[in-house]
Order: sequence, then structure tokens, then C-alpha cells
Amino acid sequence: MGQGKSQFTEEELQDYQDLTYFTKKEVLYAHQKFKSLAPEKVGHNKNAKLPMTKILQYPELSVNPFGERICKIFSSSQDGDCTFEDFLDMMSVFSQSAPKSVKAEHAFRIFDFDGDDMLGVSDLKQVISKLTGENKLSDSELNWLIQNILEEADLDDDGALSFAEFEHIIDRSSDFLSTFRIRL
Amino acid sequence: MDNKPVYYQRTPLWTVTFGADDLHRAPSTKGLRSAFVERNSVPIASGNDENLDDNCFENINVENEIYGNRVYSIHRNQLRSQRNDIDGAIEARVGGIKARAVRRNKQTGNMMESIENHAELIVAKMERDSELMEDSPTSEELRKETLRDMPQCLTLKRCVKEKLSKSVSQKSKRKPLGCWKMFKYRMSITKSKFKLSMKNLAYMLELWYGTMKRIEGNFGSGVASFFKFLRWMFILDAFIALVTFSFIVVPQIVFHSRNGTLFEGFQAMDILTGEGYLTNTFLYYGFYTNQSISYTPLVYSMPDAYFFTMICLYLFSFASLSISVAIDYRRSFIETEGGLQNIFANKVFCGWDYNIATESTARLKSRAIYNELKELLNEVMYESEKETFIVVFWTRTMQLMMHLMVSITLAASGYLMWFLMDKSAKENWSPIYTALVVNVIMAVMPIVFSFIINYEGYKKPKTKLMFTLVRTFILGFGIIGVLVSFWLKNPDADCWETSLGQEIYRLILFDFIFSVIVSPLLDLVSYCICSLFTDCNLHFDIARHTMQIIYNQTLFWVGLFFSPFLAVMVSIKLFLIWYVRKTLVLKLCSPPSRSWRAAQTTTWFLMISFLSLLLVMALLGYIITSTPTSTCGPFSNYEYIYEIVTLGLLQLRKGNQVWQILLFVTKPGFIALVLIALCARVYYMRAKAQAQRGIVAIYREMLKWESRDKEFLLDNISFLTRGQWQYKVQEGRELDPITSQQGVPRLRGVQGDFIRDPSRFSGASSSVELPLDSDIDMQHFSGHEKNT
Repeated sequence: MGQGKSQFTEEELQDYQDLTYFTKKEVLYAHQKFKSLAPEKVGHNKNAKLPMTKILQYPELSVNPFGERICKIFSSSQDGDCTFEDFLDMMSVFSQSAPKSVKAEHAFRIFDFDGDDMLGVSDLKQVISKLTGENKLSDSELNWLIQNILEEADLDDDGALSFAEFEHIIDRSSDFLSTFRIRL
Repeated sequence: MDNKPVYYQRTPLWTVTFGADDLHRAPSTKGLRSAFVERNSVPIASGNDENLDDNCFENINVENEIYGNRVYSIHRNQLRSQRNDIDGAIEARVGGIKARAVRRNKQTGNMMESIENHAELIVAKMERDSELMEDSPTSEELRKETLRDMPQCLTLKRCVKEKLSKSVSQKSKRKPLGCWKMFKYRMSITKSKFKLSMKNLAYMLELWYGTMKRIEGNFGSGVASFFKFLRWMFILDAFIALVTFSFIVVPQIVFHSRNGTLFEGFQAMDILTGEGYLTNTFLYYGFYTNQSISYTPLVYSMPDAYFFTMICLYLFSFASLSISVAIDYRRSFIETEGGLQNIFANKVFCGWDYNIATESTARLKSRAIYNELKELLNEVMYESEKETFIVVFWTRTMQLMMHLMVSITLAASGYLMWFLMDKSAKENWSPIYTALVVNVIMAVMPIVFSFIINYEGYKKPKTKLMFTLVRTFILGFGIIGVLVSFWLKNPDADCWETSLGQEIYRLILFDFIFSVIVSPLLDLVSYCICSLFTDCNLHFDIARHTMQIIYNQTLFWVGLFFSPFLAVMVSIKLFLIWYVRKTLVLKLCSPPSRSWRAAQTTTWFLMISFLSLLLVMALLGYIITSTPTSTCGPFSNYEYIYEIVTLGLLQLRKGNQVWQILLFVTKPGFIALVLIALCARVYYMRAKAQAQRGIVAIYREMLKWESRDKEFLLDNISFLTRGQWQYKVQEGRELDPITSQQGVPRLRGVQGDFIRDPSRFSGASSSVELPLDSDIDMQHFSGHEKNT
């Protein structure tokens, strides 16, 4: 873990430690992981911006159906390209010590495909089709499913899930914390 | 969740871009509703409030564009409703043009500046909070925490942090600190530093980190939960081993090397039986002396050391186990209110396991999610289908029969064990038979249980799992119970404690051989055979393996008191099991085809181990207080073991006042009273929880009705005014949009902040009749009409 140290000043590390859920050691480890995605580029400039295709080579993201969404959400330029700070931010949100509320916030953004701050029917459809992958549910099944989800979760009956409603679900889920997590 | 003030906008930068086209979309009730009901985020205040008259749409819009804010809906609706209005159209156009200009700007890479602007805004909001801006460590800690929990990008956070620390150091008037305050600050700094270094240490020392990651990546968090459980048990046992070894075994060996005889007459068979030569070694209770060992000038009292080390270890395991049970139980049952509502939403939103890192696992996972969704849908669709009486009767009878059969099998295995032990005690059968038979039973029966449960007609997999777990648990504990009661009933052996220790030693040793050598070999052979014919899919049975670990642990807890060295053995065993299982799982098994509710089942497993430890401790309590000691071991000076406290440590004589009190407190009647009081308290808490659940249901219903009311009122407003309604922008804006988290301005808007053109309205109301078929409060609505 020692070799990455020269690339950061003590001050930067302190900043990262204060602003993420990582310790300094973990930050350095994260940087190693980031570096392994594009060694020569990052070796040159520690905070280099890697294109989304590079970021998606990270094993957990490459097989994740929401991989692209995750990159877009965390990218500071909104196009999926991530700097090291964006990457660190991502890992910190997915780490074990991030609180449920922060994780829920990001999960909501990931699922909110059209970006209207509500999980509407089209968002839900996209989420489900991404989840099931190659196996497609029929249209009637899909509608049934969405109707059921809305029945459970849509407290104010407006046909879409707001963040508060989404958070309500997440609060009551025992598995969310252990599944919405990527080990560094 | 928590009611922390929000210093940021809930939405990220620039997620939404809406251009001029959006401004001219036809208004819909959905849009109207969204203006009042749906929006969670509140408008961020623009820098200069004097601009906020009705003509500043372009201002607002441009700002929205810059900060990607979600307030647009209100203003957008304003624009929409005025789209016939020429002025409005022009304004909208201007806004659109400006918006496009901003977007172009953004494209040309003016991002840093925007981040800077955004950071300024957040800083401005945070600066208003005096609690955050103090120049003290606590406030600094608070600042860090607030920033850390803010869902914004890291670059922005760093920017904000820098600005904040600048403004804090500018503002603070450096007063000389008082002594006490200085001390307090120092303490809090040291505390946070200590916490951090502990976190660092925990990260460094996390055992088997890479393996855990690989297992999670290949098999998801279900299989990983078994390994986590195993690791937890290993760490606990290793700690116990360390303590017993250093406080009990080492002093005894030192003592023995001074006064004892030489070891002789060792046979290889002794390792298996634990008898012969091994009987009189540090393995067992009987070997430990009842004397004090004097290392000049210190005196080490062996009985005291033995007793208190053991008690402390049991209490320590009990405490750590109950703490983790409590935490887990709270997390997966209390906070989730049983965790069984929202099955669909849970499956969809929490279905994916983000730990997964390999292609094939990901494919299987999405297949599993697909299957489960289909199953759930089928269940819901055909739920109404009633079963005929005959079918119900048949399944019930079947289940009853199965329960009976299982109980008989359990009783039979208990009897078999008693019989074998009796034989080995009286007719000198080799004690190995008992251990072998018990291990075969423990290896075979759980497989039989998990097999027959499929034919008992339980619908839910959860019920199936529960019954299998309960049966396995009863089996394990039944065997241990028979074992202990046999030696308590036959105390005529000259050192029954050692005999009990030997019995447990054998069981653990054979379990060792089974789980480290035999069962992996069997797995390997079955894998080889089945891969000859077809594509082999060996699945890892999480429940069975975890129960095996729990059984092993229960045995260990019973045996620890009679055989201190057992701890070392069990730790080595768990250590080896980890590696054997890990290799087998990674090499042979394929990922599970069904999802495993890891969080809840882990809680069950923890609860089962907690229960078994509780039972073991009750058993030990009985042994300590009511079973006479034999002539060997550290407590042979006393009649009962507990007298080491009352007679030895406290120097109490019978008939003493304290003695009387102790007698009274330990009377069954008194303990029953305490238990009843505890039960009453639990009952009270339960009733309270249930009442609260009821209230939550009522609130939920109210929420629904309220939003229906709003919807209805809005429909009426737009109907009456024919779209000619408007908001007073100032009303909504006066409130500090950031600090008022709830959508207050919008609610207010519903109740009467709309302005109408009076002339048009009077025309409308004469011709329009309000629909009266709804059951909401129409008076309230018409009352407003009159007022305005």
C-alpha cells in the first residue's frame, strides 16, 4: 500500500478522510484500485479523468445492471466519466460504514432514470427490465408487478414514488444495507 | 429519517435539463398535482430577493438551469398557464434562450465555475447555522459530519470545506480558552483520534478479507453470511483459548513440572478415546490442583483462577452474543417492522446484490430475481383459489404424522446414545462407538430433515427452513442433554467431571474428523460422480452448515468447564474448517439459484446460538449449585462448586445475615417472581408496540386521504378558474426554502394563496356547478370562495 503515498499530500489525504467514510489507508487502497483501471494515465496524473468504459471495467460495476447509471450518478460531469475523487466518492457511498440515508439517496438517483426526482412507471419498468436481464417479463406481468409495487409503496396514491416514499421502503428493508455495498 | 437541516438540494447538479419545449407542453392535472403534492425538494433562494416579482421568470429559470433544481414545476406551471398570454410567451422564450445559453456555456467546460457557485450557495446556507460555525472541535466534527453525509460530489465537498474553514477562522474571535474548556477540547480531539485509529486498526486486522470478497463476488451475500458467522465464532473461540491457556493451563503446567510425576504409557489410541494416558493431563478438569501455587512472593490460587476465569469467559461470550443478537434483531426485525411488508418493492429495489463481481453469478442472479418475481406474481394472482377440505385434511394429517415420526426418531437417537454410554460404562464397550454413532446421526439427520420437509406441504420456504432448523436444534441439544444427564445420574465414577469432559472431547474430535475430512471427501466424490454424467450443480447448504457450527459450539460451551484445553482444539478446528470449506465452495459449488434472505436468517442463527448458550449456562448453573463435587479437580475441597464464592472468597459462615439473604434471593419462588415481573414488562412493551403499529396504519390512511383531498381541490380550482389561476410567487418565496424542509408553501397555496382575475371568476362561478359527489369537505372550499 505504500507506493501510492507519494502521489498525495498529507493535506489531501486528511481531506479525503474527513469527507468520506474511509480511513487514509483505505483511500490509498482505493487509489490503487483506481490506478489498476488505467495504470499509465493515473500514474501520470493522480486525479485523471477516466472514460466510463474504463470505470466499467471495475469487476463489480461491469456485471451490475445499473453500472452505467452508477457511473453517471457519481460522475461530476454527469456523462459517466469519473475522476479519482468521483470514484472515491462512489466507493465511500458503497462502503460498509456509509449510513442508510446516504445509500438510499444514491439508490434513488440510480433508479430515477428520467431524472424527474420521482420514480414513475417508466422508471420502474426500466429498473425491472435491467434486473431481470435476458429473461423478459410479459407486458401484463410487468404491469401487474408495477401495480403491486405502487400499491405497497405509493403512500399518497399519485402513481409515482417520491424520495420520501422510497426511503420509507428502504428503511423497512433488512437486506438493503448488506446488498447495496461493494467491498473495496 | 432524521431531521437534520438540509444545506443542499436533494437533486444533483444538472440532472435535469428542460428547454423551451418543455415550457409549452400542455398543462395536465398530473403536472398541477406535481406542483403541490409530489415535490420534495424546495426551491433554493436566488441571491437577490428584490428581483422576485412576477416578471422575473427568466431569472428563475436560468437559475434553475444552473443548479438543476427541481422547483421548476411551480414556475413552469405558471408559464404554461399563461401560454395564451403574449407577455408570458415572450418571457418564456427569453427564459428558454437564456437557458440554452447557459447550457452552451456548460458544454464549453465552464464546470469549475459552476461548482464554485454551487459551493458558495451551500456555504452561505451553512453559515447561517451558528452551531456549525463555532470555532471548536465539536463544531468542526459536526461540520465534517454534515459535509460527509451530503450527497454531493467530492470535488464540491472539498471546495465547500475549504471555504468554510476560511470563513470560520475569519469569524472566530480568538478568546483565550479557559482551563476546563481547553481540557474538554483536548479530550474530544483525543477521542476522535482514538476512534479513527481503532477504525484503521480494524481495517488492517480484518481477517480473511480477500477470501470474503471473493466469496461475496462469486456467491453473493447469502453464502458469505455463513462464512461471516464462522469467522465470528472463530474469533470468539480464539480469544477464549488465549485466556484459558494463559490463566489456567500454563500455571498448572508450571505447577506440575515442579511437583508432578513424569508422563508415561502413551498409546496412539488414546488420542481418539481421550482416555488412558490423556486422562491425567491438562486436557481435563481432574488434572487441575486444588492447591495454591506459590511463586515467591506471589500466590496463585488455582481453584479461584479456574472458577473466575471460567465464569468471566462464559459471561463474556454471553454478553458479546447477546449484544450482537440485539443489534441484529433490531436491524432486521424491529426497524423493519417484521420485514415482511413491501415484498414486491423490496425485491425490485433491494434485489440486486452489488457485491456480485463475476459474469456467471450475475446471470444467475438476474435469473433468480426473474423467477422469484414470477412466483410472487403467481401467488398474488391465484391466491383466491381455495383448497378443498380433503386436501387441507390430507396435508394436516401428513404434517402431524411427520412431526410424530420426527419426534420418535429424536427420542430413539437419544435412547440409543444412553444405551451406548451405559454399555461403555458398565460392560467396557469402547467409548468410540458412542462418538461414532452420534456423529453419524448428526451428519445424516439434518440431510433427512431437509429432504422430508419438501413432502410435508408447507408453502412458504421460510416455514420449511424454520421447521428444519428447529428439528436440527432439538436433535443437537437432545444429544447433549442426554450426555450430560447420564454423567450427572451416574456420579459413582470417581471423577465424573473428567468423564464428562472426555465424552465431549470425543464428540468434538469425531466431529472434527467428519467436518474436516469425511464430509469434504463425500462432497468431492459426489461432485466427481455427478459430473461424469451431467453438468453438475452442487449447491452450498447454508442452513445445514451453519447448524453444524452451532452444534459444535454448543458442545464446546458445555465442555469448556470440564476441559479447558478444548478451546484451543476448537479454534484450530474452526480455522481448518474455514480453509476446507472455502476451497470446496470456490472450486465445486455453483452460486445459489434462489436468493437467500441473509440478514434475517443470520439473525435466526445468532438467536439459536444465543438460546443454546443460555441453556448451557442454566445447565452449568445447576451443576455449580446443586451437584456435589467429586474427589478430583480444583474444587474437591468444597462440597459444591459455588462454595468457592460463599465460603472461600466472602468467608461467609452458615447462618450469617448475608448468607440468609443469599439463600432467600436464590430461592425458586423469588426467581419465579422476578421472571414474572420481567414477563409482565415484556408484555407491556409488546402491547405498546402493537398500539403504535395501529397508529401508524391510521396515519398512513390519513396521508392517503389528505392527498386525495388535495387532488380534488386542485382539480376544482383549475376547473373553476379555467386555468386562470396563479400563485403569489412571493408567498412561497418568503419562507427560507432551504431551512423549511417540508413543502409548506405548496400546502398554503392550496388553501388560499391563489389569485384570480375576479371578473372572469364571477362569470365562471355562475355557470359552473361544483361536483358534489365526493365526500370531502366542500364547505372549506366554498368558504374560501366567499372570503376572496
